[in-house]
Amino acid sequence: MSIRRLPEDVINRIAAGEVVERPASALKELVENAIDAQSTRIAIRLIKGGLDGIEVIDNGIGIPMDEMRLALERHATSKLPENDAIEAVTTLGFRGEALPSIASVARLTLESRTSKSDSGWQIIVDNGQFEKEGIAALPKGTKIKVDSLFSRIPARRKFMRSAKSEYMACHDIVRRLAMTRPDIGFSLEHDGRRVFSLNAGETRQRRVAALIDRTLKDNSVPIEYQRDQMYLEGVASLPTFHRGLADHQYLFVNGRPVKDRLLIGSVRAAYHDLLAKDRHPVLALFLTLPGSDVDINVHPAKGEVRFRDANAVRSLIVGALRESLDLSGFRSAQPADVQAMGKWQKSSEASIETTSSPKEDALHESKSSVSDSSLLFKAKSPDAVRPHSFSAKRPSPSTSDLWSAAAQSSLPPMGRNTTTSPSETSEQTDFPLGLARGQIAATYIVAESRDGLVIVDQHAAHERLVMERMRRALENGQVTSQRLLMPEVVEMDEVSCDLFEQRQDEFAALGLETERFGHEAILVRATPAMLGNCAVKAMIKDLAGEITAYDQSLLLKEKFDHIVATMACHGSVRAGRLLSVAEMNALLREMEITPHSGQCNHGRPTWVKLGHKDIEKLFGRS
Amino acid sequence: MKATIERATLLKSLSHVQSVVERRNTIPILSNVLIEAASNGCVKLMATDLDLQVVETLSAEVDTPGETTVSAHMLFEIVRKLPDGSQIQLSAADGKMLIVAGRSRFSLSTLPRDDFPVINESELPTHFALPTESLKQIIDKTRFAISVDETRYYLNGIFLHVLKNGEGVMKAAATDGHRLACVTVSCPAGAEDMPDVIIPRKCVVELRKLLDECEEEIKISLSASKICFDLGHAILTSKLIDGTFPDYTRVIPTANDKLLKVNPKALMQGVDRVATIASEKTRAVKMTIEPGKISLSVTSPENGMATEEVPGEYDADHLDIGFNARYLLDILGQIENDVAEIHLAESAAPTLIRDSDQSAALYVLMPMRV
Ligand SMILES: Nc1ncnc2c1ncn2[C@@H]1O[C@H](COP(=O)(O)OP(=O)(O)OP(=O)(O)O)[C@@H](O)[C@H]1O
Ligand SMILES: [Mg+2]
Repeated sequence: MSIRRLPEDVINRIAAGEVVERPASALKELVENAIDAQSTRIAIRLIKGGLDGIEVIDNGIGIPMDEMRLALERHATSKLPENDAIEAVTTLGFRGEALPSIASVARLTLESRTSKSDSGWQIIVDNGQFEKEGIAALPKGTKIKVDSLFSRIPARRKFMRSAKSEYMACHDIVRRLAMTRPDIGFSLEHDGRRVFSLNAGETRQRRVAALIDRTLKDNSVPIEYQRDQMYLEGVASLPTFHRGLADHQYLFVNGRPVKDRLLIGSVRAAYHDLLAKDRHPVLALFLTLPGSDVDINVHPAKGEVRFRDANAVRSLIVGALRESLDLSGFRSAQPADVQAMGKWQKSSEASIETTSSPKEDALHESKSSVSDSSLLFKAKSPDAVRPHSFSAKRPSPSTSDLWSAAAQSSLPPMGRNTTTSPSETSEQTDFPLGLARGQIAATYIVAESRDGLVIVDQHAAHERLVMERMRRALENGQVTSQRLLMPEVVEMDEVSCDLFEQRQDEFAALGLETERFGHEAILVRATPAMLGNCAVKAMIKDLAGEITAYDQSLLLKEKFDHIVATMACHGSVRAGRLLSVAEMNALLREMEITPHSGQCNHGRPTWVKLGHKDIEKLFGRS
Repeated sequence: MKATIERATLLKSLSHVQSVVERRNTIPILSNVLIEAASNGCVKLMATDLDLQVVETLSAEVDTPGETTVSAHMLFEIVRKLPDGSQIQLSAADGKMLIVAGRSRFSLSTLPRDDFPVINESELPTHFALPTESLKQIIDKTRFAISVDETRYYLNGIFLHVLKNGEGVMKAAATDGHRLACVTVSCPAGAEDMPDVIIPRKCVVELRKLLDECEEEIKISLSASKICFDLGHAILTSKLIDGTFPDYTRVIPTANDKLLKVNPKALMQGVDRVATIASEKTRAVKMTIEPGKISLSVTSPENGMATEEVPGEYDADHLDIGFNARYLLDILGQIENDVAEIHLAESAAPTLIRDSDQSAALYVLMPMRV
């Protein structure tokens, strides 16, 4: 066998093997080209996950008519600077491989028009063979259509997965690229359905949240960090917002989506002791560094890069993340505590009020505690406003109100007037949450434990207990579901339906019986009876949204909790209800033996404790 | 305008009229009742919420014909508090309406009549008359099943249609997605070609209030978008729900071969008793049906359990089936005979409940998985 040079189309096809593995990789090249062409609006259309068609339309600079044939030739690029310095490349493409590679394994229609010419030009190449060219009508920009991908390469075609998973891969690529350039408008359409449409000129935070998860905005910290010539910016989730998969970590180097091990490792290191081993943060990080410090030519499509100083990059990322997360931690917890202490001090001053009768004295004390305690909780968690609580909205309850409230109660006098029998004092040592000493604002239980003062939010605590009880019932197979007379068809995008379908059995265990119904719909046969006559469509969409947004396994538990929580909420002791001491103690004892009772269903604390030391501090005794 | 009306007459009409008026109104004129006094001794009271309009006609002593609008609730409250048997004189002039009865005098501010929105009652192509009893039956037997879920607005009313197969029947149906109620009456002359309509819940509620004092027949006229009930002393006009009612006939089971005959009162009492301990949200009652008896049971993780046996006639295979107690009670409450027929298939299939195969009403109830 003699050595010979490979013909051009064979070379292209071999290269295509590297560049064009699947529709998503062809799409990536096309969109990158559109970005390089200074477009401000890029429209992408896919048919059957790109297997049956990919179309990318941009409004960029276009290709001059006389260069179009060249653009389809191998190693022809307009993007390398005059001195051919790869390090100085600022565009996404530079190898001049993408178009010829794609054209060698598909039928490619290239149409383009520059602002200078008054008509466009079209070239069609079919599996590497020039087919025809001619005038094309289009506005300024470029339109590339790829169809019959791999139709001449059955082996490759065979390896393609379902249109669904190809679509998911395409979606992911577009999402990543759209994140890098909030200045460009992107729209994505699949099988004639609009998947998203993002306006040009958005902020990065907004764009990232829009593409990953709307709620990320409120559960993340912005990252902005510079060290020497390296600059890191982006959005990183708080340690409380995590997933079971590391699939929502978007990393970019010089505007290029990468899946680099060093970067992934650095992220893991930064969150190491903040998250459980199997949990992963959600983030988008954009690293910018001089082209000479990074080699992006490791692999044409895999998204791996090589850094000149890997350690510096790693320490930048770990440092930036740690610092930002720590800062956010301080912001949400510590200053609030300090503030709360401040309130306490103020309240003690306010409650020193001379009053005529002991009963009134108690009332006044509770009155001042009403506003104080609500402020305390406010400071801790700004969203802790409960509909039935005596919140700060009622700043000065009139005496007659209080009198009538007190008259209805079977309570011993509230607050410090409660007597303590010696036997109780010895008993309290046995109980972590202590013994109930009274109730303030008919909302909080005050208890004395061996080591301090405990305040319990009765509604939050009870809600949690009821929920745990319900959960146990559900675990015991006590789930009831109501069948629907007419099964409800809920239309959703295919990906949501896919994800929903995967979770179908678990939903069924909760009483929600569904079936896949065609590509883009879910059929609901029965709903959890505890939800009553609920708005099925809204619920399914909610659930699907959450499955897509959060980790799936976590979600189910959470959604489950949510359903149960909603129910529990209605079956719980309301804030504002007066409790007897026996009732209060029963609640405290149940809390002690119920797992997770320290947090209410919304993640807020159900009780707080003021240790003896803290109390001493308040009185300046220490 | 000046007219004198007997208190009881005015109060009754006002009570009908004011319940159409929405309490929280942003458009002031919609809080008002339009009063029109004609020289022939007729006073008309009209109220609207833009979707539903009621016009009541009452006889009065009219001195000066004329018209005005005043706050419906205010007027109602005033008339309600005036002593029984009083003669109430209404007179309007210069943006005020004076109410005089005995030694009481009120002066209310008015809004000009021309601003009052009126739904046109004429030009409705279909006309027919329905016996008052049929209309009562339609409403009484179906309205409990009307959905309150506003996201499915097309279920927020009673669906009324005439079978186009020449069988000569008119059907009314309501469903909330868990149960269905359907009443069949014979098709009145003139309704044969009527469009299918969905009558909104509020119209149904107001109409039912007026029916007890009605003559033999109610004249109904309708188009695809409006319906008008002429009850003699009152005319109720409503917009219809613009939507498609689902093809409910598909969900009425025809092959349920397990027939349970039971005394509805006995079953209701049993269900009601065992449901006492059911958790409030689900109210699931399990029925274990065997020849000769039905065992009702409720198990609540919270509260414990309850069982009761109810006699019943049944000779098919043993069946376990669960129902929402409230739904079951709603339906059983509609059964008039001493025997209710419950047609079952299996524990996940729709169940048909009715008086007998002769009865006008039938109900379909979806079971629960318990
Ligand atoms: N959408 C477009 N708008 C304007 N010019 C384009 C567009 N797509 C391709 N081109 C031109 O065609 C040339 C070849 O594109 P191709 O993608 O094959 O190579 P490249 O982008 O230079 O390098 P790479 O192989 O790394 O992507 C580009 O250099 C560019 O000049
Ligand atoms: Mg390129």
